[in-house]
Amino acid sequence: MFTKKIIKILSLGAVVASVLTVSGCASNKSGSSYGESGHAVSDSMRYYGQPVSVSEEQNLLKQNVYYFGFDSYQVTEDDKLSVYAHAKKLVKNPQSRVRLEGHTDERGSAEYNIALGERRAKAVANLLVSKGVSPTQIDIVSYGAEMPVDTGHDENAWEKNRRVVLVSCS
Amino acid sequence: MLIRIILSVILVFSGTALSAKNLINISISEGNTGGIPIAVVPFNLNGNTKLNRAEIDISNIIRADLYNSGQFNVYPVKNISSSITKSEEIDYAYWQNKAQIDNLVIGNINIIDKDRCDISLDVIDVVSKKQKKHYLFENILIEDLRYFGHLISDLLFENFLGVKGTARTRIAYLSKEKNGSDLVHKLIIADSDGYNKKVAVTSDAPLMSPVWSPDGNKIIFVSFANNKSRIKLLDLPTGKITSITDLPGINGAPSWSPDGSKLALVLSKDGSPNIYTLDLQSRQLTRLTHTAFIDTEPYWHPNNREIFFTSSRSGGPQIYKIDLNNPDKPAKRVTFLGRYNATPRISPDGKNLVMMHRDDDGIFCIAVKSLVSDETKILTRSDHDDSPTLSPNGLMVMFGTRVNGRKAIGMVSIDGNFRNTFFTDESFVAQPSWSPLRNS
Repeated sequence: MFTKKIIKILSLGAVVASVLTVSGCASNKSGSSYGESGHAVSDSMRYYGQPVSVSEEQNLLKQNVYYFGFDSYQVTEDDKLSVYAHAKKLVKNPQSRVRLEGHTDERGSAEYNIALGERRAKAVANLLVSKGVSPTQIDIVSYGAEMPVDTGHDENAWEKNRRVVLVSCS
Repeated sequence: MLIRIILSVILVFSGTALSAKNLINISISEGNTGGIPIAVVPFNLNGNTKLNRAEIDISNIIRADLYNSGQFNVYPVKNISSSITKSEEIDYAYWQNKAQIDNLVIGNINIIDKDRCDISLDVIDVVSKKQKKHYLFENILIEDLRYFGHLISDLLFENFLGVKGTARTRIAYLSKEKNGSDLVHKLIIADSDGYNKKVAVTSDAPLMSPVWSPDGNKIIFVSFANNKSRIKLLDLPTGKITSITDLPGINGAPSWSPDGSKLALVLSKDGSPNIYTLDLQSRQLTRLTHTAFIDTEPYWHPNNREIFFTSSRSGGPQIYKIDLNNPDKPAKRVTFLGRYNATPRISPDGKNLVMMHRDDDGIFCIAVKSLVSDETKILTRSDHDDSPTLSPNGLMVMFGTRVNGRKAIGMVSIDGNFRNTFFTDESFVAQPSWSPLRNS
């Protein structure tokens, strides 16, 4: 996901345009090789003692958003599989980095939600580190309630907003 | 008693005359029927002008300001048939018995030329039938009439209440608007009645927590540009933005010390969000809280000795205070009602704590706790109220609110008797901050 962040600063008297462009994180590149039949396990990974096929690994890597219950910063067991897949990839590629973006639903104080969002992002970061990822490969930012994906005012919207997004950087 | 005030100073206001773009629709909710009864009669216009009445008659502004102060019961203008030129024309029996108001304000605007005018007005005590005050402003620029309307409102307010009025103050707030598939984030400054709106900062990334400096010349805020939170300072006279903190982790919730020399803020660089103070001159950081809990939203008490803040150390967010003279002493808990109390704000006289509170139904509202009597009172009720900010005279609270799904700015008097809601052009507005009193 490419993101360009542009800051325009308009002064009260004069217009001072200062444009900063920063190239954001590149999209995930799939790179593992597999055997001719498409379901080879030659490149398998092991979670909890169970072999995981390569295509399952690809699916786990495709997932990069993790959802949370109300007031919680516990990563679900299912989500952990995906987080560990990312961890393995990061360990294999020590030059690559990820940015973990923590979010909350809209309820409550904006600044308190920044702190809650950080807790969620850190929970995911801790899982990556527990699988051998170096902390220097991980950036964390909390947006609290400031960047909802759903601007509704009900549980349907709220549960979509309580999330951590893992953004891969080159 | 005759008070003559002559003001022919060139005032630097870039707003145009009265009917400048109507940027705010005031939706009137609950006026203060227990307030001081007053009628401001439409002013007389003398002399030739191409401008129509609505652009010149500042009695509109004065009525609105007195109404919005929450301290007056303002007689509706639709009940007033015509303006009154001289005291001799006043039907005292009507005003006393039918209208039941005690105080009458009558005024004249004398056009000098296409650019200038004089304003004169009298405040009349309807009961004693005496003129209580006379004001005269000579040689005013017509384009400054809006400011003079607010100035007169402040003079009347102080005259009746012995406390400074806030008609000439400003607000800062945040807006989000769609630009195609993107969002544009803005920090907007306006007069406290919503007029003379100016965009001070524009960003493609979120902005948060704007706060005016005590001298009214700077606004501190949080920026998320380049995927990182930073605290930045906007210098209003120059429009220049400088970075204040740019440390790993959270940089947030900035607050000014009463003398403007320090900031209190939140950093999570040492593991979890904690409260720090920053000396703006030396740039020295001093850490105040040392917990693994969430400590955030510091707010300086006007006594310059205590900082109130939100902490999760007892389970959910509650408000605590720390004594700067005894920083090693554990912070003292201040709120005990309900399971969510956050965003502490202390009134200028130090007597009231205004905060965000979640009531038993799970609805977020604004509440006030007396630091004198320890009583807590809930002031508001809507879908979701947050971000309280106090007026510089401590009588009014402005806050973020949501009405029928639409974000707006709410106002409530600290005694709860007066409420109002402002809708702006922007569909999403949040996190208002009330300026200090103007120096002029």
